[in-house]
Amino acid sequence: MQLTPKELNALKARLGVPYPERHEFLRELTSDMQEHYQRLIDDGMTEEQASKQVRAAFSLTAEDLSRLEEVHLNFAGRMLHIIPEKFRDVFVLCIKWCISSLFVFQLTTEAPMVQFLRDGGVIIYVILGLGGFVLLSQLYRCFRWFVRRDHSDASLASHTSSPITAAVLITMVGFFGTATGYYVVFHKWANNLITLDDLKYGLYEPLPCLIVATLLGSTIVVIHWASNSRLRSIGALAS
Amino acid sequence: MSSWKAKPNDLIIMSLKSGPKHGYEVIKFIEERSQGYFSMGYGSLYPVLHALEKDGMIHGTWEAVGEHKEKKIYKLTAKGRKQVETVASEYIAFITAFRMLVEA
Repeated sequence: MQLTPKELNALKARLGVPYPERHEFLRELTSDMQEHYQRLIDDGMTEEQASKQVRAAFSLTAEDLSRLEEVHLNFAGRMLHIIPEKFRDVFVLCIKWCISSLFVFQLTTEAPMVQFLRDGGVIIYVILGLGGFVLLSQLYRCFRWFVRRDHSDASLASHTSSPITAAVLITMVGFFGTATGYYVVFHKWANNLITLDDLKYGLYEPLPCLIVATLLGSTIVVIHWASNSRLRSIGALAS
Repeated sequence: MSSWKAKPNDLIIMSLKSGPKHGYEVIKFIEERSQGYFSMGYGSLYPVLHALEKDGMIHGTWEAVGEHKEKKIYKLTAKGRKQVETVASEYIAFITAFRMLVEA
């Protein structure tokens, strides 16, 4: 006796147990169901009757699933469960917004004070803003998947390749910023608007755009790959 | 008499005292040995089994049965065996005290 893919998916969707425990539990459940079914067949029951009886015996109520979920909560999950369910997501959202606000505050007040960043011009703030937003989103998803261990369909649906696209975009903006900077410098030099002495400054000043963009882009890619392989290794994503 | 209930985790560790078992066997053992007095649904079995495993009372391992089948077999750990002794002595003390009241 086997659970149909539809039954298995329905059960998976109702289970709040994180991976890899979810796989382990489904494996255990189907193995025990098989054992029960075989015993009923050996006792002389028809396949149809046995299948019906096994399905009835193993039908898990919402309360059973909730108790199972509680058993598999980790420390972070238990801490969050102290907060009433209706306020839990609001609490996490508040923390997320606090961190985001802190980032924006740092970007607008501290970043302009750093000479290295100032050399990159206005475009570096676009790179920092975009890169910071993607990094924060990735960190939030990592918190959701690996700390809170929320492996619900809705949570896992946010695992897309968009961070890779964003990393490419950020790197391209970095190239664009540096190339534009060089164009301006060489244009000025060609038109004798700057001296040879000024040129040496003009050669390194546009570089922060490229450096910051490639650094952010590669960090985003590394985090994406690492979270992707972790999700695969625990069986939360199909290989 | 059906109002007298034993804790599910006590029943499970007691059932494993006689040897390793998988989930289905645990339920059957409890039902058969208690002559149907104690019964347990699968819904309540798994949370308790997993909680006991997390607490280090029992340990589950996957064992191949036949060509394509496998079962998760649970056995008592040293901590679990100690717990069995404690639980058994508590229940026996309870039963003895109650019997003395009945027979008084």
